[in-house]
Amino acid sequence: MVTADAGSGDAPGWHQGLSPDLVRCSGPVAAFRRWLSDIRRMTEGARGDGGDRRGVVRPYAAGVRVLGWPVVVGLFGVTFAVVAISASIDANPYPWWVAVPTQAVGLVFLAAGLFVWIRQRDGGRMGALMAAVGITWYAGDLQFSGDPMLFRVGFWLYHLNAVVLAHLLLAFPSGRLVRRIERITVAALYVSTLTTQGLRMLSERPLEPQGWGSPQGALSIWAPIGSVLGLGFTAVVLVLVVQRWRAEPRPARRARGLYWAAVTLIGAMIVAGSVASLARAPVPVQGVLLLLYAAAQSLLGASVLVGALRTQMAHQQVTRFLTRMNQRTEGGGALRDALAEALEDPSLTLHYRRADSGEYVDAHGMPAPLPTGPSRAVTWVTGSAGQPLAALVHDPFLTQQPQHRRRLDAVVTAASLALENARLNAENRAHLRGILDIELATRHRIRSMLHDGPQHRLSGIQLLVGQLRRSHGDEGAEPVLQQIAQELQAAVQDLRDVTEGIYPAILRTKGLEDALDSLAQRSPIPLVLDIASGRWPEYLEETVFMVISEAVGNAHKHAHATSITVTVHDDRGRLVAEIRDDGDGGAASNAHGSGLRGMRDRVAAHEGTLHIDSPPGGGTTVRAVLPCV
Amino acid sequence: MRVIVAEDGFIRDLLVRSFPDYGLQVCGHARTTQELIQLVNADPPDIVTIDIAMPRSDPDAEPEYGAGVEAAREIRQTHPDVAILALSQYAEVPWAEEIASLGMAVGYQLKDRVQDMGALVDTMRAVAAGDIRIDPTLITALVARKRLNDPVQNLSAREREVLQLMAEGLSDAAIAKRLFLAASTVEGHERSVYQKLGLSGLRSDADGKPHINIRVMAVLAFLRSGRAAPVPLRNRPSASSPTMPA
Repeated sequence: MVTADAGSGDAPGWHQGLSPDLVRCSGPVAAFRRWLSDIRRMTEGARGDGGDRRGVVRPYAAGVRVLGWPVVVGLFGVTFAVVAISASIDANPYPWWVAVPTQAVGLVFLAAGLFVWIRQRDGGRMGALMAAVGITWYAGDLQFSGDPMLFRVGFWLYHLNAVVLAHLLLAFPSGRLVRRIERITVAALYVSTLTTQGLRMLSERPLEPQGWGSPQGALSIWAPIGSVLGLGFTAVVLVLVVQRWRAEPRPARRARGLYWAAVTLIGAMIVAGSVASLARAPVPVQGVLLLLYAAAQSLLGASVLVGALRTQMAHQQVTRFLTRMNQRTEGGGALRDALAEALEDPSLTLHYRRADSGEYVDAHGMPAPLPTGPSRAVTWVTGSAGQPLAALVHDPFLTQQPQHRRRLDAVVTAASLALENARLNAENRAHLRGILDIELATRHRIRSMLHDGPQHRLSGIQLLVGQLRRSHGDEGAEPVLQQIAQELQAAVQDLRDVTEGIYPAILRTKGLEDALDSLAQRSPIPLVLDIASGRWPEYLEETVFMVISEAVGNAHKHAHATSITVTVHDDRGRLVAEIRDDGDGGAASNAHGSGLRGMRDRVAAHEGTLHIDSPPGGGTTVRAVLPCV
Repeated sequence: MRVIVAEDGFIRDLLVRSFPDYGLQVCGHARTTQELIQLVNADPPDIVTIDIAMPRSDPDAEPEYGAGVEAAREIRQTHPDVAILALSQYAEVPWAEEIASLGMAVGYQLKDRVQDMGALVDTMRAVAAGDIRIDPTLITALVARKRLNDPVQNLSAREREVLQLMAEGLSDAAIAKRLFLAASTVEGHERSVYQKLGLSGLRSDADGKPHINIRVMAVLAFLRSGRAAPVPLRNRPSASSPTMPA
C-alpha cells in the first residue's frame, strides 16, 4: 500500500527472513513444529497486527526461531542477574536504600528492553540493546562471587555496561548506528574495554575487585591505559551525542525531551562520579551519586518505553481520526490538514496524480508539481491495483525513524479510502477548470481576432470614406457618403460592444472594479456598484465577472428590471458577489434556466456556491460565494 | 509640426500618407512600442500618436493591451516636452484616465474619429499646444450613463454641456468660445456644476481654479463612479504645463 523512498532506515531484507518451511513438513517432528508455530501465531495475534508477521523472527537456529530471541535473552538475563545479585548481596558496601534501587535498575532495563523488543515492530535492535544494558549492569557484581572463574568474568566485563550504554545512546532511537564515526567509536569502545580489562585480568596479581568510584590501584600499566582510553572514548561519545542533538530538527527534539534529559543526567553523573572518586569522597556521597546515576539510567529506559507507548497511542488516535475522515464525503483541503495534523508536519503537502496526464494537482484541481530539494521527502500512495494515486511531500524527519515511518504507514493506510476519493474529486475539478480555461481562452481569442481584424479594417474604411468625402466633395454623393460614415460609426460601436461583451479586455489588466464600471457604462439600466477595491486571482475575477455579466443580462432581458445593485466583497477569504434586481422574479421557473445553470457550473468549478432567490414578482437576488484558494 | 506614428494595424499607412496633406511632418513610424521609444530617443518629435494596444517588441506578436499606455508613460518621463495622443479602439475610461494622469499635452482619441481627418489634426494641434483632449464619445457615454439618485440629472442642459467640455479637457476660455458664452458666464456654470456634483474641493486651488489636468481627472472619476473622488485632489502633484511649439 505504501512505500517510502526517502530516508535511510532499515534494509528491506530485515523483515523478510521468515521461511515458510515450518508448515510444509510432515511427521511427528513437523506436528510439534506446527504446534509451536500455532502458539507463536497466537502470540502475534495478541499483538494486534493481524496476519502481518514481518519483522518478528529472524531466520536463526530452529529452537530460537520457535521460542524467539527475546525469550532466550530474557531467561538468560534473569538467571545472570539472580546469580550476580546473590553473589554480591553480602559484599555490597552501600546501605539498603542505595543497594536495592540500584540493583533493581538492571532488571527494569531488561524488562523494558524485552517489552520494546516484543511489542514494537522494528523494536528488535533497540530492545536487544536495552536488554544488554540491563544484563551487563550486573557484570561487576560477579566479582563478589566465591567462584574464581565468575570473579574473573566479572572483572573482565566490569566496564561493559558503560560501553553498551554508549552504544545505546548513539543508536537511539532506531537501534542502528547511522554514521560511520559512530560505528567506529562503538567498535573501538568494545575492543578497548575488553582488551585492557582482559590484559589487566591476566597481568595483575592479586586481582582486586573494582567498584563504583573505587580508586584504581596502579597494579599494572593496563589500568591507566584503560582509564585514558575510556576517558578519550567517553569524550568522543559526548561530542557525537551533542552533534546529534544539534542536528535534530526541533520537533524531533521536542518529541524526545525525556531522552535528552536522561542523556544529560547520565553525562552529569559520569562527570560527578569521576570527580567524587578522584576526591575520594566518603561512601555515602558516592552512594548518592550511584543512586542518581541509576536514576538517570532508569530515566533513559523510561524514555525509550514512553516513546514506544506514545507511538502506539498516536497510532490508535490517528486511526480513529482517519476512520472518521473516511466516513465523510468531502475530501478537499480538509484531508491535507488532517494528515498534516496527524503526522505533526505543518509543511506537509498533498499532490494528487491525474490518471490521464500524470500531472499533479492539489485538492482544488490546481496544478501542484512536486517540490524537490533536500529538505523534502516524498511518500507515494498507491491504489489497490498498484497505480500511483498521490504523493505526500513532507519533512524527511517523518521517514527517518522506524516509529515515525510506522506512523506514516498507518496514517496513509487509514486515509487510503479518503485519498482515493479526494483524488477523484481533485481530478474532476482539474477537468472542470481545464474546460473553463478553454472557454475563457476561446473568448479571449475571438475577442482579439475581432479586434485585430474587422475592427481595424472598419477603422481603415472610415478613414478612406473620410478622405473620399473631403477630396471628391460631390454634392450628389455627399448625403450617401455621410450615411455610410454614420453607419460605419454605428458598426464600429456595435462591434466594440460585442467584443467587450465576449471578454472585457480591461478585466485582465485593470481588474474587476474597472471592468464592472465599464459594464455599467454599457448597461441600458442603471447599475449601482459597490465593489471592494483590490485585485483577486485572475480566475476568480473572470468567474465573478461572467456571473455578474450574465445576471445583469438576465435582469435586463428577461426580468424587466429598472435597476440592479451589484456588490462584491471579501468575506474572510471568500469572494462574495451579489446581484439584486427589482424585476419580475421567478427566475428559476422561466425560460432563461440554461443561463442560470451555466452560472452555477462556472461557480461550482471553482468550489463556490450559487444561490438564487427569485420569488415571483419580488425581484431576483443572485449570490455567488467563491473561496479564494 | 513633427509627428511619430505608432500603430500596429494598417491604419498606420493611411495616417502616414494623409498627415502631410494637413501640414504635419511624419518623421517616423513604429509598429512596436520598443521601436517607438527608440525613434523618440533618437529624435524627439513634437507629438506621438500611440495605439494603446500594440506589440512590445515583435511586430508579428499579438498586440498587448496596455503596452501603449506604458510606452506613453515612459516617453513622458524621458521626454516631457513630447505631446502624446493615444489612439484607441477601446472606449474605456480607465485608459483615458491613465493618459490624463500623465499631465498636460495629452489626449485620448477613439479611432472612429479618423474618418474626419481635419478634426483629428485639430485635436493633435491642440494637444501639441499643451491642451488635454479626451474623446467626446467617451464623455457623452459617461454623462449619459444611467445612475440611481443621479446628481447629473440635477444639472441644467447648459451645465451638462459645460460638464461635458470640462471632461473633454477644454479650458474655460475654450468652453466659452465653443458655447458662444462670456468667460464669466462659463465660470458661473462651472461653480454650479461643482456644487451640484459635490466637487467643491476643486475650487479651492491657489488661483481659485483647478488645474485643467486635475479637473479632467476629477470629473472623469466622478462620472465613472458616480461619486466624488475620495482623495483631496489639490494635494496631488500638479502636472506642469509644458510650453509647446505650435
